[in-house]
Amino acid sequence: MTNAGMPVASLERRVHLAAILICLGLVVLLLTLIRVHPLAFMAFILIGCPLVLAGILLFLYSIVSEEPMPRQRAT
Amino acid sequence: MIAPTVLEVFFIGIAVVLAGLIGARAELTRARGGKILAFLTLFILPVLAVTLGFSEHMQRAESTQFCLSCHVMNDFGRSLHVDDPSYIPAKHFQNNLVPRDRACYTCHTDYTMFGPFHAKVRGLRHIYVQYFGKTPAPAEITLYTPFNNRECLHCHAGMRVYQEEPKHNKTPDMMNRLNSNQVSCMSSKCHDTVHDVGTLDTVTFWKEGR
Repeated sequence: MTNAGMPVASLERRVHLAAILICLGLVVLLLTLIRVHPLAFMAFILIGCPLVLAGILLFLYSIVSEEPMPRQRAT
Repeated sequence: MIAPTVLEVFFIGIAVVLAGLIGARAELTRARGGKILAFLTLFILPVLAVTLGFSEHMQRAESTQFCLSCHVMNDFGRSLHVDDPSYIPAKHFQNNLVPRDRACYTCHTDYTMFGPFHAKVRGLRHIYVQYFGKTPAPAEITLYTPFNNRECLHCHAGMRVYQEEPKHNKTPDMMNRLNSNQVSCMSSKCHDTVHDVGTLDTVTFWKEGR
């Protein structure tokens, strides 16, 4: 990864972070399915959903902000 | 406990594993196939998983177990087991006139287009009051608005026992007044014994399967 150009490393770092956020959010989602309780629902809404949403947004941002290949080669 | 469907858990589990894979091997996204996998794993699957989870939680929020999980609702749960058919909720619950696993929601949702949504919003307010507000004593809990006959008629409308009940036809226009909510089923001294949690110390309880 260190040999890759800066934009590629940056993209991979963002994808890595997005994947971690989504993983955490989905794990929270799974945990909230264990019990039928209002707090489980609140944990899903207040912790699980924001984590997954943040991960998705970060991933989408990382792919739209990726520089085109020709410019990467030029640098 | 209501077990989440195996398929949902399996699906979310797969999404976790794949997201973990992309997280651990972010360099996979250098190849075209990796990019497609990342898009599926970090966008499509999480959106589907959260949608599934939301749907599951919405269904659970309609369960009797969910409603009675707050301490203040205990007496309302007990009132479903009163051994006296004049207690309307108890009669409905014990005779399966409402689904037992959705007993509260069946009567306390509004049978309108956005009724289930409004019921959920009220539920969110209840959660806030339970954890951050001042919880009233069970006997002091009242409905936001008088109980609408529409909720009763969702099931009872057209039933023979309802249509032919002499008290429902006491006057020529009684049936119309009932159907249009001008005369309340609950507060017109006909079916006015509802949860009455203040009286639970003086009643006997039905023991199922005795």
